[in-house]
Amino acid sequence: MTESSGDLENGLAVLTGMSLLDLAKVDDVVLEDALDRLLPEPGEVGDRLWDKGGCAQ
Amino acid sequence: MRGSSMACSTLAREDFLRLAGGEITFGIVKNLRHYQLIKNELLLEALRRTVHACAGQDEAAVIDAATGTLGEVQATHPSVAAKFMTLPQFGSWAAECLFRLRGLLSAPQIDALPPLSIHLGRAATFAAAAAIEAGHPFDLTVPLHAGGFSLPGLGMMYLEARGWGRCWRNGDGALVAAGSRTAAVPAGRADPAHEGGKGWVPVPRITAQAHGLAIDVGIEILDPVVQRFGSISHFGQDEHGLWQERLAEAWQILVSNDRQAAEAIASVLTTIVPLREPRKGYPTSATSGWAWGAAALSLPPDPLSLAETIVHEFHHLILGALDDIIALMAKVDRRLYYAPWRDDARPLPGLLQGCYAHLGVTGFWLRQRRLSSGRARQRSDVEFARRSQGAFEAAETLAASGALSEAGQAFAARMRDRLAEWRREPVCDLARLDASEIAAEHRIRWRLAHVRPSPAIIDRLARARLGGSPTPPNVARTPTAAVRPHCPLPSIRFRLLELRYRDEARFRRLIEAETTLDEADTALLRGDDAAAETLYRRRIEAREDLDAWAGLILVRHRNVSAGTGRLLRERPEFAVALYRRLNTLSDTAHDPAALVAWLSEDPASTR
Repeated sequence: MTESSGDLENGLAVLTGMSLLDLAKVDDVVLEDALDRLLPEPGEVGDRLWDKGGCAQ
Repeated sequence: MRGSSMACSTLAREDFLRLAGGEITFGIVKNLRHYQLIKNELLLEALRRTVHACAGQDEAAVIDAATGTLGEVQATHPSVAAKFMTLPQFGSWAAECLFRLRGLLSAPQIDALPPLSIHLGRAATFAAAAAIEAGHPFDLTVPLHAGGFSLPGLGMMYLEARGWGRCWRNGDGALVAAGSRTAAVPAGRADPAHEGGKGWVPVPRITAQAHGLAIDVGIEILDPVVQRFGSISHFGQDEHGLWQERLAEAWQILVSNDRQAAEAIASVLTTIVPLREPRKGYPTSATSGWAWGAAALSLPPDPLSLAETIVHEFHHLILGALDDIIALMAKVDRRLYYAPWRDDARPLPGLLQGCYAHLGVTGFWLRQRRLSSGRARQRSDVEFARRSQGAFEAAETLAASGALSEAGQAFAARMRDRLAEWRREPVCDLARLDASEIAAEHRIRWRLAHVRPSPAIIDRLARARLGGSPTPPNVARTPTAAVRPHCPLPSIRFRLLELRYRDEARFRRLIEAETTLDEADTALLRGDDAAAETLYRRRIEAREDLDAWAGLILVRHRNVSAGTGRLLRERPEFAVALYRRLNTLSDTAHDPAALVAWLSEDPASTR
């Protein structure tokens, strides 16, 4: 769960501090790896829409 | 740091656990917002590369021009670029385009979208809006929407044109042109000279201030991505006034309730999408994990309800942002679960989201109890008792699911511990009873709609019943059978039980004068249990009626001593299945009320 620093593993940490211009130079493999964490798996709730429809408010 | 005005580190473990315990500070939120910016930059860059790989040259040119302009603004005005790239419209749009190009959308979803070039071209609207606000020179081709130029977060310039137009900035300011028409874009959203000026409609805003803390929220009704939240409400001058008034009162409540949380809310909530109620008296609200900063909601009936809804949706946004950087699920879990606040059956990520939102709401009511008296205190007590019980139950389910990652497990455990701590708060007996009855009604109704018990268990119960056993066999610990995404049962009885403590006068009027209410429900709500039992039994004997079964079991629940009747309390669906089975096994008429009473007897082996 934790890295040696005591901070949590963060799927986007590798891109921290990058501008759009910096990102344009990032290797495809690194970019896709970070993106993979975000995109829905088949069967997941892809729209990530959390509604109170039918909800007992 | 390049590319952003927000300096921050990765998320510290202690901040992660603070979040899990419901402690959301401005500092933590600032860090989460930073990662929302990185996420949206990543989505845009991935989209740009995907367009180059699989779309045409024209589409690639559009996206390159927009990305280039945003990059230029970012280099000179990083905070302005960050503002527009963290708009809820931006994340929603970028994710939607990326999913589209990568084949992650269904055919009906794609059919509902604009042509690909228009869809991708919306990148230019964000770039143009950022460049206008930064005063940066640019010249972009922009797709029109609803007859005009939509500049996200700023406003809409209506030109009664379709297709594509041009948006640029020269020494005289920003201009848009489509067909034969050219118009100047007003500088600054608060420029009174341009408010309501020809063709320009600024994004309506509602603001509030309390004890020196301000909130300023844009109302979004035009952006194409907001349609995903539901049916958008009409938003004219009257509605603007109503929302403004209600926010002002709700903000007083929120700041008094928890100033630290209110400060965090003010920094996150940039946008409200006003929704229509799906049915009169049935409020709705939603957030999306791709739309940081936006809450979609129908106008709640009172300021307290708006304050609660803002807290609820704020927690969804926070957990969505956390989920972007830290994996809380270990694997895809295809099981469906009971959530004490939903009429449908939920996937695990939905249960986690709901649990976190209700953790936040529980904390809200805990503090609200201390700030209120009289009827308001009574309402706060019941809300607190309900939310703490339901969220605790869900946190236990999450922790026991086996599908969370190590971080997710720690998060669920921290939520559970915090809720356990809160549940030790004293609550008056009346509030606890109200909360318990509402929880029982919901659980019974949900299980009757969604859970189908094992035929073998029902056969065992039927044999015991027909054999004259005075108590049912001990089958409470048998595994839960299939949970189906079944159509929920009507919730009118539940709504009335809620109304009983939220607005007692209206509740009394309804049960005394409303002729459309079911007479069994009316008897139950009046406290006439004997009449309610008779009337529910008649309904069941007349036809298959799950709603009547739920009412009948609830009557029994009222009359069973605390700590007994576990089988009926935990497995109410056994009653219906057993009744059906007995009717197929024998010609004798079986009394539903007697069956329910029998199932509420504790098995001999457990006494």
